[in-house]
Amino acid sequence: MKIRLMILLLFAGCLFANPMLSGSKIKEERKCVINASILSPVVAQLSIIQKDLRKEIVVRSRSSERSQTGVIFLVMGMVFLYGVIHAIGPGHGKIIAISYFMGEKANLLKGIFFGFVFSLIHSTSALILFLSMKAFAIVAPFVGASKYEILMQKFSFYLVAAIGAYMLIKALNDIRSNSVEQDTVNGVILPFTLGLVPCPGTLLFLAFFSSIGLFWFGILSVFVIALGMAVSLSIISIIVIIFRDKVVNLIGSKTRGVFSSLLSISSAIFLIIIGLLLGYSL
Amino acid sequence: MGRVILILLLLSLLFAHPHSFIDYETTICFDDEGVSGVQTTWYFDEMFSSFVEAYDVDGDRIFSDAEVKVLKAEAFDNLKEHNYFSKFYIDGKIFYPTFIKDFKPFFVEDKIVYSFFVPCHVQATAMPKEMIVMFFDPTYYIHVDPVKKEAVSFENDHNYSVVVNREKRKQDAYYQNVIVPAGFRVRFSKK
Repeated sequence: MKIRLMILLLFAGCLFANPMLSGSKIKEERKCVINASILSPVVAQLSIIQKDLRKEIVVRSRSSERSQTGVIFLVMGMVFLYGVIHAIGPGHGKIIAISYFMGEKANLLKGIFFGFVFSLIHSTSALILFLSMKAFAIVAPFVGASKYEILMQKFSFYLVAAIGAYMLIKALNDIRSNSVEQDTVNGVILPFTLGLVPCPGTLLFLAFFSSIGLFWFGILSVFVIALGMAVSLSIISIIVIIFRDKVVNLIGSKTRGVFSSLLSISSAIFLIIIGLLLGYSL
Repeated sequence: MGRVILILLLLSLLFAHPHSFIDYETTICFDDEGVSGVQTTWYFDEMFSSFVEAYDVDGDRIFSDAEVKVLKAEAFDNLKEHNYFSKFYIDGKIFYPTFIKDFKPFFVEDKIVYSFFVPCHVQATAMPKEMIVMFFDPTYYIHVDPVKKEAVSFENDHNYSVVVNREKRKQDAYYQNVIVPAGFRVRFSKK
């Protein structure tokens, strides 16, 4: 049972393109113009912190004092911090969130909402995947599961492109009618769509806690990681919302509308491109 | 503030992040002709190790031949497509290993360790030759770093003069040019 579950998890890892487990040749070496000297130390440092945190979490969770209240709080505190840092690092749809909030006028609550909805769905979908696999390992062979999940990921990215297309049409309609219609739908659909892709980091925590007999720790960690990620993503969204407002306000009132429309159009086009590229690249 | 936003924006261009970690060490092996290959040891982080641990079916913390066979097939052989995360330069020319030998997984405390030999023959002469050894995962799913202590050692090198330098290989930056791998420049010649 244990080995079947683990093997299944490993197979599920394929959907996250784990090169240890995935036989597909990666589409690598796509160089772009980012200057390595700016980002490299930041990304490296984030990775080292995550690595150290994970090590501490493993050590504390395996220790004989792990059932003590203080240790539980300490471990969950570290899990929370891991979530915060994990979400600052590459990934987690931040480019899409940034693009969306650059294109749409939004209040701060909407930014917070985005961060929390995305994180909750992102982590919960990992939990659902984990529990499904656990059940799946008992009743049926797992072959084909990864293909299904890759399809889901593709669907998620193509949906982002579709949201971009919707935003583009809306922006063009706003220009034609010379009015700005507030977007209420995409602010909900977008984080939900992005979150559908399960978080591999969360899945690792679940599998780890489960493997050492702390299943409920694993379940708790899902929501603690989600909370950590939500804090980071909400802050990033808020920064973008404030930044957009400041930039738009800097523009003279006569051209403000044109500038705002240009932002909306370029953001929408960007979402279309990024959604199609990501969907295609899987 | 502008700089912070710029960094956040640039960071966001990336679409994955490390989910596992490998610390590695290598031994450059010599024979009568020169370099014969690179003995490689990977130490996985404790959390990822808890996955691979499942391949120790009987839980005796030793991988039997049968367990190794399954583990290798399911959680190692795929790396052939990724050149076993290795990229070497031999006298300035890139060399991607396509096969390995003597794969052996084992436990070191709570970590799973993979050990294997990467054949790579480079004949030594009286004139110094140069080899650069790097290990990294170009997908950045796994963050690969040399161990903190001496990551490179030598075996059977008594007939050779060998010098090694560790360097940051900006020219080999990967993952949208953001991650700069560590590389080991090895110069060797016959004594």
